[in-house]
Amino acid sequence: MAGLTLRSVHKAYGDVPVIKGVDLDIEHGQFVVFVGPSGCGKSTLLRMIAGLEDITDGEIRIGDRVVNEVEPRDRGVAMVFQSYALYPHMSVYDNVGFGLKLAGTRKEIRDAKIRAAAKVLQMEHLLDRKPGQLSGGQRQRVAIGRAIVREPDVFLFDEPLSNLDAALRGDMRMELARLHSDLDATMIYVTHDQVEAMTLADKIVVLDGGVVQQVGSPLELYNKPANLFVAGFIGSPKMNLISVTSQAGGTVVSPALAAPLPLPALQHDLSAEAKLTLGIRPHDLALAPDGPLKGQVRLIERLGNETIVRVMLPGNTEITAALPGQDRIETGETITLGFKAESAHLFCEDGARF
Amino acid sequence: MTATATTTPNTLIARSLIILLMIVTLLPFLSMLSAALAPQGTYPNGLQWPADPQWGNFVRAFEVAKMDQLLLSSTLIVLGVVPISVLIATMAGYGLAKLTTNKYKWLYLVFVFGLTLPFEAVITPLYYEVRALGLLNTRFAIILPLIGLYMPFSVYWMRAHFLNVPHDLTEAAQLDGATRWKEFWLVQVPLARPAIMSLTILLFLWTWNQFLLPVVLVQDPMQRTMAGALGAFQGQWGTDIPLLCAGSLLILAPTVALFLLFQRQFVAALMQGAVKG
Repeated sequence: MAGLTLRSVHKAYGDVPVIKGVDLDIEHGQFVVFVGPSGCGKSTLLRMIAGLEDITDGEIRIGDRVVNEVEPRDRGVAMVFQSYALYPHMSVYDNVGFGLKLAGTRKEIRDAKIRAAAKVLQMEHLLDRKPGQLSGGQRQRVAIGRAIVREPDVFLFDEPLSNLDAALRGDMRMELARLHSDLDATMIYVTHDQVEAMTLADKIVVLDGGVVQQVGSPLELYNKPANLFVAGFIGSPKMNLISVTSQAGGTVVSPALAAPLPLPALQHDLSAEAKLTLGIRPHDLALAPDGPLKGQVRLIERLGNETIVRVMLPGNTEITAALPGQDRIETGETITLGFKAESAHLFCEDGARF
Repeated sequence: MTATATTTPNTLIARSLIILLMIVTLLPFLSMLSAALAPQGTYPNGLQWPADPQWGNFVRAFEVAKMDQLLLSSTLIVLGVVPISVLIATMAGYGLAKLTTNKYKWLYLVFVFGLTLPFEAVITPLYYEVRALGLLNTRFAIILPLIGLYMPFSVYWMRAHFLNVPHDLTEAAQLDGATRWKEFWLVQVPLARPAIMSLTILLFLWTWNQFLLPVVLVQDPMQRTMAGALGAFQGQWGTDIPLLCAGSLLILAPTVALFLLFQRQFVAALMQGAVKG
């Protein structure tokens, strides 16, 4: 088992840069999730760690060994693919044991390891089957089993749950979390699903356009997003973003706001007339008769435990509020929403956190 | 068929056409069979079942054409051509599909170019080439050129298969610790079995039925393929129609037997070709 270090890692396809300098420290035993929209470079970064993509510039260390030029098989990593990538002609037993067979592991030891992995993943009854006879969830288990038996330093997961249905995804997510605590292994996990990221990760790496936007624990990212991108990406429903202008005296104004809004964060800022973005999480909004946000209800989603309301504010700004319980709001009604000043997020014109 | 309710005029026409096509296809064979069973020295005309079928004609044809030797010769040629062609084509197909970068894509075009080359166009230069190598009148005069001539199609065929194998499998094998060579033998080749099987069947048929090359390059009929030997047989026994027909049917027999044995794979092979062009 080992940690992982990335130093100024770059990747370009011809003249097109896709990873633009990533620095990252992953400690032994951490569960790190790379998250970002499609095309942000998260899978490429994972594949570079696996050795499946060359590194254009920079350095990747696994433990204290630089692995830039090391073949994938010698890096001490195991990967679970989105497509599972099981060998269709081999039984589950042979799929799981293929790596050990190639490594020349003795048959008894191999057998013991395969059966131990099958037990951990509760798939002992599947060992004789071919991948084609398995369901999606079972295939996923086999793919994970294949990774486990190799006892790698680092586990790599490339969107492993995205081919499963919602219910199964929830179950597998919990199993992965259990596996991580059982194995005490370093795991790197790529996903575009932020629920997976929030629930599994010790540390989340948010990527966009080949650049790390923020690294931190799930709650750090949720509570203190470093920029507008992270603010919009982490949290569901998405954070409401309202363009505002600061005024002397620590208030902000906007056509969307019923009145100038005092914000404690602005007290020490002297520059007036700065263009800012105010961010409020839908779950931080509540019905408040004297609140600053007044608008007409456009759409209501009743989820039972909460009610998601889309509200059109003046100035053509639409926001989302997640109200607890089953509020008796109707479409077309005018409501007033408020929030605590400390739950507001402010972002500068360049997108960075204020 | 009991479900007459589903029998529309269209299906009736379709079935009649199929039956007609079957008759047209089978008629020459039946005609050959009836001719082969006619008494020796007669000139049978068309489809006329002889009053006294001479099954002994087959035995005689087998003996005079030295079918046992021809079978052996054909088998030797097939064994010389097919396994080597399939092996080389499989390796080349894998290489062209999985190992070449964009820079070397043109290599594949060379093979595609080979597909456009008409077989007959190379026969004369091939004759001089084989003569220069001192292989004229040996089975190698058939084996070596055939391996070469089969390559464009075979490589094209195998490459098309390997292109369809998901790249993830290659990467999974790499991470599992497989070298390229091991990945090829332990992962890719077992997965390519249907493609290899169909290619083997096609190459077998083409080799077995090879006529032009043996006739041009090998003088001794006993060193030729069965189909090639038919040329010599015809020259020698051209006037004895029943014997000629019996011989031809005997020469056909192994191909038909093979077809019946591997019917399913054979159809699959042709279908594969249909889809992949």
